[in-house]
Amino acid sequence: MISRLLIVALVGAVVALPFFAPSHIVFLVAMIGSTSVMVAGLTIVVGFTGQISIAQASFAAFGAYGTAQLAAMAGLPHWIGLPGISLAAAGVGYLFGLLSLRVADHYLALATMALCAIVQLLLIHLEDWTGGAVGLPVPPLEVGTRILTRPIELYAVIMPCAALTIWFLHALSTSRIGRAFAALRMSEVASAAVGIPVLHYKSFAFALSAFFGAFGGGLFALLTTYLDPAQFGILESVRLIAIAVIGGVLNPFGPIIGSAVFVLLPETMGALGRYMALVFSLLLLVFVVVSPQGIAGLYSRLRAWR
Amino acid sequence: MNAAALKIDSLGIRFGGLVALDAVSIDVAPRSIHAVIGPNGAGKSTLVNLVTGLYAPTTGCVTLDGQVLTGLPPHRIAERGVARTFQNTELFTDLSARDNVLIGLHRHLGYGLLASTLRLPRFHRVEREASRRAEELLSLVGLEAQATTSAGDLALGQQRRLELARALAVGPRLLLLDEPAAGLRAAEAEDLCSVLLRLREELGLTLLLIDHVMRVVMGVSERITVLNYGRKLAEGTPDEVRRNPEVIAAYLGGGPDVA
Amino acid sequence: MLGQILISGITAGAVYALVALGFVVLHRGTRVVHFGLGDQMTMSAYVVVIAQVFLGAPFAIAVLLSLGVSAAFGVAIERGVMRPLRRAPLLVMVIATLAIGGALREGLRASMGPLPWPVPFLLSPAPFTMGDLMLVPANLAVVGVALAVMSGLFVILRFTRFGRAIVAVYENPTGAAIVGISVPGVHARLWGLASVLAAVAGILVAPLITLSPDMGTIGIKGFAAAILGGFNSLPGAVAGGILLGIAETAAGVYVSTAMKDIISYALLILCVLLLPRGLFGKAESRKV
Repeated sequence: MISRLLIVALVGAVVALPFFAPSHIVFLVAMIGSTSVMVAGLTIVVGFTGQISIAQASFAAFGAYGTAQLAAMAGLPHWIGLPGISLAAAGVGYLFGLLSLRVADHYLALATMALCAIVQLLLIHLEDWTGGAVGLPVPPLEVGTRILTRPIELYAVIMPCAALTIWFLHALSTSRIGRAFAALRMSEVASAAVGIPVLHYKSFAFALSAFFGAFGGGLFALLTTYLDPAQFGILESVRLIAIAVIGGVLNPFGPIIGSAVFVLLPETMGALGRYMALVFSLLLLVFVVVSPQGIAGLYSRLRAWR
Repeated sequence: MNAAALKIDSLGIRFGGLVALDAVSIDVAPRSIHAVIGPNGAGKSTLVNLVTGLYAPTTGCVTLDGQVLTGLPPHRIAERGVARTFQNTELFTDLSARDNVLIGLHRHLGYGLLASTLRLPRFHRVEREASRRAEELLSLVGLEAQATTSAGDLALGQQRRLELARALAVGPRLLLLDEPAAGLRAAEAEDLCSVLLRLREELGLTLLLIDHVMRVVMGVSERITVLNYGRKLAEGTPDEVRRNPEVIAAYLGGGPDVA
Repeated sequence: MLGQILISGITAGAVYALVALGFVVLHRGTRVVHFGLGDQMTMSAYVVVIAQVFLGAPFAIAVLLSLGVSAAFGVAIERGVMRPLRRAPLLVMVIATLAIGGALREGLRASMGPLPWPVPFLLSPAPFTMGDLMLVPANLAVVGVALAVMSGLFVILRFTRFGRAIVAVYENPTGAAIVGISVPGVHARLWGLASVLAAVAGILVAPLITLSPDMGTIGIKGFAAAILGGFNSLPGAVAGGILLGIAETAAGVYVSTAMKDIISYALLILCVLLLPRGLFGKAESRKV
């Protein structure tokens, strides 16, 4: 009941925000929205399924650069290009998941980490396609004849996507697919013994993770209007993991909570801003040791305790 | 559900230089309760892991009603109607007892990603039916009151019963039970026996029962195979096995628990 | 040309081998893979710089201080983070070590700035020629020190009480506990030892590449070397490191310098996929 009230209040606040908040706040909240979509992918693969992926930034890059270049080079409108590139990412993610047949645990972590490093190097070296180290401008979102560049317009596009993503996480986690993911996380042997095709489901989790990574990356590209390969390395992958873990990897609202912390905290820190990345790393460490279920987990623990 | 005949034909496996199972052949008749016993390290769990596809055998072949199981991945073998429990219980410990059984029902729930996320009527219909079935299975093993308890918080005896319910949810024709009585008190073990007999009568299952002591299996099994050091030592009715001098010798060597 | 590639490859490889040894020493005893080990390399190089530039310590004292700080840091990780997490799933441990690495890197970035710092060479960086080969004293020093440290490690493991307890835990943790070896104590030593190995590697490599907060990415190479070596064999880690160094140098010469890193990462992925036990490792299996 309390949860339901909270959700209604949250939706109300998101709808009402652009009517009274200044535009830089609207921009920040849209940033929370696009980040949470990227992180939602990690919530599925790391949280629900218990697999390790240090390549989420690569899928975000795939979506961001793909969206930008499909528009710039092929003239494809974003509303086709963004879902299209995300579906392509899902395909790549599925193939990627098949690797987990041969590789598990820290080897998987390392393989994904190496892949992420390769993708970033390619972003820098394939200059004709990616703009190289200097980066790439993103063509703006056009709807009909209207060009959407103001934060409030992008907000109106991004926030519904973020809301749908959270709904998707919730619906997934309470379906047979979500239960199969949870089963994999706890025992692959027992999962296979009850007839769950382990490899297919792992790959499927990676596919979903890649889809949301790319979709969120595309939204991020539209919002920031400029892409820099430095934003898509291993450090960014780890940052996304930190957001997922601190928000809570077993809760559909985890990505939003984590993204809100990571986007808003630096804004309120002022001169201490340069210690922000350090603070986040320490926060991640504290959460992993003290409350592996993240902030969302703290909340439900608090409720159980009351 | 119709019971299946299991045929294990000169099955063998070696791990490195160690021969864990050496050309073992067992025929399990449909609707029978067949026990495999033997001292620790005799290769009993290895046998279960070979039949369910967790290990690939070095030699030999397993068939179920004439269909070859050997070489199939574990989830395909489960689809053919083979379910199992584990010696050291492999429950989904963070999930509720009901969810454990629902996961067992996984392959019977026919809806996909679209129906889940759009919450189509099909989703609700199938999920309602699945919950009902899960409740049924939980009460079959006497865990209806623990439906929402985390599997990890259940007592050992309850965990073993939950594993049984989960295995039944798979819809097996053949059920493999790996030391189901280990760690149970005498009364619990007797309950287990009556549940096993009911399963055979009411659901018409074939049961392959693994144990390292004879106490439990004697009462319920029609035939018993005795393994020792990866080889078949003897096979017959409980009475024949009990009187077999080689079996007595093997057990006296490994600890006198024949009675 | 081949000789030159071998020499450069072995220089890089010696550093990778040290990091790989750090990974393997730790993993064999504790099952933990420390994703922050590369950042500990960075930290130790910074400690040398700080001791020299800000405290005015001579180089040798600065190095000793750095090794001491590293060892203490490793033991602190074991006590403060890994011990509370010893029953946690592997995923949680991986994230914890990633967080440790991140905290080190960002802490250094915040306190020392993002720009590179100069680190003194052990010997002159001016090359001299010998036959057709161009040799750099600084690089030879790296190989020499790495060799000395590796031999030292083998001597410690073989001939000291400290080392023999570690080997006992490697072979059989339960047995070691039964004969009275404190397994948590050994874990703390392993963390200290791995940290010292990383520190030596960091101090050696810092002058050759640039010392910036992001230098720790080179830890991935050590990781790759460990995997090539099978991840549970100490000689394997050394061989893996040297092999990787040579392969990478050859790729830089014959393909392109820009593609050098890409090729070495791709090799790593291929190796993980096709040779998950490495070239020297033994199989492990899980019992149900």
